[in-house]
Amino acid sequence: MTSLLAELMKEQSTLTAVEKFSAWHKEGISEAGPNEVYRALLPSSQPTSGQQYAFEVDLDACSGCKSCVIACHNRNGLAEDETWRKVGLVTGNSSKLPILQHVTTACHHCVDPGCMKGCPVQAYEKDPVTGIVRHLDDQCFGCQYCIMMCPYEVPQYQPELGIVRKCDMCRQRLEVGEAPACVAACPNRAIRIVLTSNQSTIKTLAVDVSLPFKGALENDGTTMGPQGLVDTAPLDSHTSPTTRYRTKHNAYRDEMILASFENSFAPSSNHVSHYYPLVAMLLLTQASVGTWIFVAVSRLLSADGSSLFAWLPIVGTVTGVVGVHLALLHLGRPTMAYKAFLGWRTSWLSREAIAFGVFMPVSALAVYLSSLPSGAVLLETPLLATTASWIVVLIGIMSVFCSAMIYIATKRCVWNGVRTQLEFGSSVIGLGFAFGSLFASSQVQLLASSVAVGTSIVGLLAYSLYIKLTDSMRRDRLNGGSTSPVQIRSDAVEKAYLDSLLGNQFRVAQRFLYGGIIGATLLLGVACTFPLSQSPAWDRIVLAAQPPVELVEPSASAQAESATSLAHQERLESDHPGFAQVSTCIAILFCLTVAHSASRVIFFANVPHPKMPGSYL
Amino acid sequence: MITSFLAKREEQLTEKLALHQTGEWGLLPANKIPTSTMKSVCGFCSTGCNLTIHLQGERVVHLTPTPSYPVNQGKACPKGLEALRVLQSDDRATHPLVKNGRGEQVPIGWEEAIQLFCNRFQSIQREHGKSSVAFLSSGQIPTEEMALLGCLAKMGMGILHGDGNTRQCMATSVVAYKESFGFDAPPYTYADFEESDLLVFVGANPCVAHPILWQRVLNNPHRPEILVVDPRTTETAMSATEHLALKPKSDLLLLYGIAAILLCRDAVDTEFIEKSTEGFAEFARFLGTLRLEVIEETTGISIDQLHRVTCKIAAAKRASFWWTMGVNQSYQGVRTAQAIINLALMTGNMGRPGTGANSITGQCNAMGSRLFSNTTNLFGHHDFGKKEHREKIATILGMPVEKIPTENSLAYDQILTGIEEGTIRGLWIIATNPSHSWIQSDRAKRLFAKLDFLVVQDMYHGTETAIQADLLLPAAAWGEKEGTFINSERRIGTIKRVARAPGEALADFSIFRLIAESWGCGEYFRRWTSPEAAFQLMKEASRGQPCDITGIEDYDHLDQCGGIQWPWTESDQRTNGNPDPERRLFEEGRFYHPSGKAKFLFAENTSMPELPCIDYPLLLLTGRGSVCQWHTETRTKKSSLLRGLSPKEPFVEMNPEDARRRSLVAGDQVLVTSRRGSIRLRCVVSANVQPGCVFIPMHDVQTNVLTLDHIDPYSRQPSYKDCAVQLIKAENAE
Repeated sequence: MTSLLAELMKEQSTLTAVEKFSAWHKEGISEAGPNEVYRALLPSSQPTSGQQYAFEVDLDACSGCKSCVIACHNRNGLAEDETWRKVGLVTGNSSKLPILQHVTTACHHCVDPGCMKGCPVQAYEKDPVTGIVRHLDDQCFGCQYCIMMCPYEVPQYQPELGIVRKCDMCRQRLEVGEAPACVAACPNRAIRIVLTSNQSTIKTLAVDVSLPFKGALENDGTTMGPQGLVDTAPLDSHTSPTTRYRTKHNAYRDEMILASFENSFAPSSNHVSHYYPLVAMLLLTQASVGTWIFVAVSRLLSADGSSLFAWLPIVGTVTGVVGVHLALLHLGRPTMAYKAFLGWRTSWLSREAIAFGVFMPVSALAVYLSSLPSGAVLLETPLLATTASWIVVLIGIMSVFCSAMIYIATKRCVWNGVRTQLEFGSSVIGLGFAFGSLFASSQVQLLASSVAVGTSIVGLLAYSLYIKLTDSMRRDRLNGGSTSPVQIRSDAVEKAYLDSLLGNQFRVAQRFLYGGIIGATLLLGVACTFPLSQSPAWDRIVLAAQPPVELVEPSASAQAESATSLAHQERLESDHPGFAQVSTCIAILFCLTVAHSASRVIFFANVPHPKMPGSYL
Repeated sequence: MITSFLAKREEQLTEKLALHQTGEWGLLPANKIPTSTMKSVCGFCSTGCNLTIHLQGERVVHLTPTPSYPVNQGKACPKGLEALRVLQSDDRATHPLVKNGRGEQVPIGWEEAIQLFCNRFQSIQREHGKSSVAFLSSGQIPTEEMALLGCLAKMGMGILHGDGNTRQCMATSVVAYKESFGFDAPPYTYADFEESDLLVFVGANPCVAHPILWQRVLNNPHRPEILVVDPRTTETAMSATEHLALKPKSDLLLLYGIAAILLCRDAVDTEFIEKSTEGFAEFARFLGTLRLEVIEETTGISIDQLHRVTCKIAAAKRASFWWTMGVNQSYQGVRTAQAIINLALMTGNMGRPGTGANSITGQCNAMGSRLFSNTTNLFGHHDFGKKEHREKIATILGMPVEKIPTENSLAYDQILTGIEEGTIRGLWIIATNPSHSWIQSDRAKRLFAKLDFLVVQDMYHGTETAIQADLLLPAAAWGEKEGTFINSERRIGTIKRVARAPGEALADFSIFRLIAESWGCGEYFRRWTSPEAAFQLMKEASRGQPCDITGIEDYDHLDQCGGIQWPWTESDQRTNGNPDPERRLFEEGRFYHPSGKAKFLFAENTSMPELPCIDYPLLLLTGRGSVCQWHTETRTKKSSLLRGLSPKEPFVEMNPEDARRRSLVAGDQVLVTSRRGSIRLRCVVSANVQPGCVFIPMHDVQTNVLTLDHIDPYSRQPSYKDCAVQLIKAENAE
C-alpha cells in the first residue's frame, strides 16, 4: 500500500509524456492555417483613401456563445479580469414579439474618436491607412478621461498598470493577414472585418441614430435603422462609430428598445469612488476661484480692502493649489502629469490643466503683490492688487469654464451644458463667498454668507426643480401614449437619470439641502442678534452687489432692530467678528461644503447605463 | 518637437501586449509562446471538442481549439477556453479530510484515509449486509475510471447498488434507444447537422447548451428548415424557421399528432417500414384513435400549424430529429424520445446522411458511462443477468465469475429511498454534487446527513455535497489525468495530464487502485495498471458488441485519427485502414434487435402530476441559464471571466402579462414558492416564457429546492421541468 501510494503520487506529478504527443500534429493531419479558414472574413484589399477597417456583426448568426470575449482575452494576453469585448442580451417583453438578441461589441474604431479627442497626453492615434484607433500604452498616464469621452465606454482602466487599454482590432494580426482573435473564435462566423467608406459612415450618421442598429450598410434591406437598440446609447453623430450590425429582424426594434431597458436593471458599477479626487479637486478649485471673486469685488468696493482681506487671497491661492494637486490622485501614473498639456488642440482636459497651471502662479503673484508695503513699486499698491486680483479672477473663470467643458464635451445627456454650468457656477459663488465670509468683517460676513447660501440654495433648488419638471413631463408623455422611437429613447434616458437621482443618493442630497436651509435660518438669527455697524464699506457693497430682495430684508429688519440692541453692539468691536458669528460662518461653510460635495458626487454617479446593449441575463 | 520629445511609444507597457510570430499558432503574446503542445478532449459537455494545450516547458500557458479535429473545427465555447483556469482555485481539495468529533473537516494522510474508508464501509457491510453501501458516480470522469470504479465496487467490494449522475441527463435516451433499436446507440454523426434539409429540435437549445454544435447547423449549405419544439422562445427558437411554442409537457401528444397527420397524408416510407421496422400496424392503429382537436387544445399548437409542420417534414428528403433535456428530463421522456424515433422511422429518415433520431448528450462522458461504468449494465453494455455475459467479462478481467453480481443495481432515486428507509447506510459519491443538483435537493441533503458514513471524492472541497462528507478524498481534475471520453456522436477521444494536481490530490483512477489494495481485493485488479491498460480491457469487453472498439489500437491511434467513433472492429481496421472521420449507424437498415428491426413504441399521453392550481398558479420550468455556466457551477464559478459573463444573481423569468397581474417590474425581488420550499430571486420580465410559466436556471443552488421529485417510470430519470409554484413580490411576504 505504501509503495503503491508512493508510486501513484510520483505518477501524478509527471505530465503525460510531451514528446510522445507533442509531435503528432506535425505529421498526419495538418493544421489549417488561420489565413485559409478566415480569408472570407477579412477584407480582400487594403483600405483606399477615405476607407477604413470596421467590424461587421451578423446579429442573426450570433447565438450569444461569448467565445469572442474569452478568445480576445486569452489570445491577447489581457489582465485577469480585463475583457475588450462584451456580449449583451436584449430581451423583448411584448407578448406578440418574444425575442432574444445577443449583441457583441468591442471598440467601434470611430471615424472621429472621442477617446482620441479627449486624451490630454496624445496617447491615441488613428492609423491613417487602416483607421484603427490605437491606444499607446506607454504614453498613457491613466487619467481615464477617454473612458468618459468614449460614448461606448470602450477603454478600460487597469489599476495594476495605472493605464487604460482597449481593443486595437488585433492590428498586429491584420498586418500579417491573420484574423483578429474574436473573428477567428466565433463558431458562427458572425464577426468579420470589412472596409467601410468614412463618407458613408458620416453621412448615414447625420441623422439621429445610434448603435448598434443603423442604416449604415448599402440599402440592401438587411440592416436596422435608424433607431438604436439601446435607448441610453449616445447618438452616432458624436463620434461616427464604424461597426455595422446586420439583421433581418427589423420589425422588432421598438419593442426591443423598451424591453432592453427594462431588463437592464443591474447597471455595471460606476466606480464613483474613483471620482472622489475629482470631486475634491473641482470643489476646491471652484472655491478658490470664488474666493478670488469675492476678494476682487470687495477690493473694488472697499477703500481699505487690503487690510480687510489680508488672509483671504492666501486662503484662495492655497485652496486652489491644493485642489489642483488633488487631481493627481486620480491619475494612474501621476509622475507623468507634466504631459497633460500635450492634447491642448482637442482636449478640454489639457486646456484645463494649462488654465489652472497659469492660475496657480498668477494667484500666488497676486498675493505677493498685495503683501507689498505701499509705495514699494511704481503703482499704488491697492490699485495694483485690485488689478491683479481681477486678472486672477479672469484666469480662474476660464479655468472653471474648461473644467465644465471637460464634462459637457462628453455629450452625456446628464452632463449637458446648462446643468453642468449651473452646478459648477453655484459652487464657485457659494463656496467662494462662504470662504470669504469667514475672513471678512462682521458686516461683509453677513452679506457674503447670504450670497453663499442663497446661491447654493438657488442652484440646488433649480437642480431639483429641473428633475421634478422632467419627471412630470415624462409621465405626461407616457400617459399620453406617445411612443415614437426617439421619445421612447429620451424617456428611457430620463428614467435612468431620475431613478438614480430620486433614489438613495437624492435622499442624501435632500438632507444636505435641508442642512443648507437650516444654515440660512441660522444666518437670519445672526442677523437679528447682531445688528450691523454703519460702516461705509457695507453701504457700498450693498449698493454694488444688489443682492436679491429677500436676502436684503433680513438685513433691513436687522437694521431696524439695531436701536434696541445698542448695548449689545457696544460690546462688539465693529470690524472684528465675534465668536458666535465665526462659528456660525463655519457651520454654514460646513453645510455648504457637504451640500456641494453631495451634489458633485451625484453629478458623477448619474451616468445612465447601459451604454451598449446588455441586460441582466 | 516637444510633443515628439514627450511621446513614448514602444516601451515596456506596449511590449506587454506585443504579439510575436509563432508560425503555426499565429501571433501570440510573449508569455504564451508554446514550447510544446498536447491535445485533449474538453471536459465539460458532450460535444467533445478537442483543445490544444500549449506548454512552456512543463507549465501550461494557453489553450486553443484544435483546428483539425472533426468535431469542433478550431472553435470552442467559453467553458472550454477557460478549462485550465478553473483548475487553479483555493477551493481545490489538496488533502484527504476527515470529519472530527466537532463536525470539522481536518486533513489526514492518504494511508489513514484509505484505511478509514475500508474500515468504515466494511463494518457497515458486516452489520447491514453488502448492499448497505452504495456509490453515486459521474459523467465527468474518463471511461477508464468509471470502468475501474464499477468493477472495483461491484466485483471487488461487493457493492450491489451504484448509479451515476448520467441518470439525471441521459437515462431516458438510453432506455428509448435500447427498446427501439435494441442497443443504446445514438445513430448520428455531427456531419448530419450539415447534411439535413430539415432539422427538428425538440426540447433542445443547442445555441446555449451546445454552442459548438450550432456552428455545424449554420454551416449547413442546404438552407435547411429548422423546426424548434420548445415552450420557451430560446436562442435556438429565435433562429428557427418555425417555432412550435407548445404548452409545457405536451410534446408527446404533439409528436403523435404529427405522426397521425403523416399517416393520413400517406407520407410514410412504406418500404423502409416494411424492411426495417416492426410494430407499425399497432402504432398506426393507436394514431387512428387520436383526435386533432384534442391535440390542438392540449398542445396549444393550432391544427393549421400542425399540418404545415407535418408537410415540411413530409417534403424533406433528409430530415433529422434532435432532442436534449426538454425530452429526457420528463416524466414520460422515454415515450417522447420514442415518439421522435417513430417519426424518423416512419419517414425513413434513418441511416442516411442528414437524417436520424438523435439524442444530444449532456456531459462530456455520459456516453462512456452508458457503456462501461458497470452501473445500469455489465461492463461493455452486457447483462448482469446473463451467465455467458458474466463469464465473458470475468475472463477478460481475470476475476472469479462468482464475484460478478447477478442482478441489476438500484437506480439513483431508489438508492436515495434506500437511505431514507435505512437499508443503505454508507455512500460513496464521486465527482458529482447531488446536494445541489438532485431533484428536490433539500431532501437529498437531508438524506446524506442521515448516512452512517459519507465519502465524497471531488476536485473541490467546497461543493454543497463535499462539505457534508465524513471523508473527503481529493481528486485530480480534467487536465491532471489521462483517459478517454466518448462524445454524443460516439467518438472516443483522449485526455492528457498537462498540469500537476495541487497538494496530494490523486487521479480517481489512482484512488480506486489504492482502495482495491487496501480493501483486500487488489489481486483482482492487477491488470488495471494504468488508464491505457484499462482501455485495453474495455476493448476486449466490447468485442462482438454493437459498440465493438477492438479496431482501435491505443491512445496514439485515437489521437492520430482525430478520435474514433464506435463501432470500429478489428476487421474494420484490417480491411479499411483508419476510419472515416464521420460515420453513422444503420446505413444498411439493420438494427440491433434479434430480428434486425427497429420497434415502434408508444403509450397514452398522461398529464403532469402537479398541475398549476389556485394556490400555485404558475408552472416552473428549469434549464440551462447561460453558455458560461456548467451545471452546479463548481468549476465555472472559479473563472472570473466566466463569472463575469454569467448572470450576476439568481433570477426568475416571467411573462409580462403575469408580471403585470402581480404589479411586478423587472428587477423586483420576488419569492417563488412550491409545495417543497420557497426561494428569493430577482424577476426578469420577458416574453420568452409563455403566460402561466416561469423559468429559473438550474445553476442556482436554490432552484432544486422547488422541484418535484417525480421520474419517468422506464428510465427513472427525474422530471425537472414541471412543478407548480406561486410567485409574489418579496416585500409583500410577511
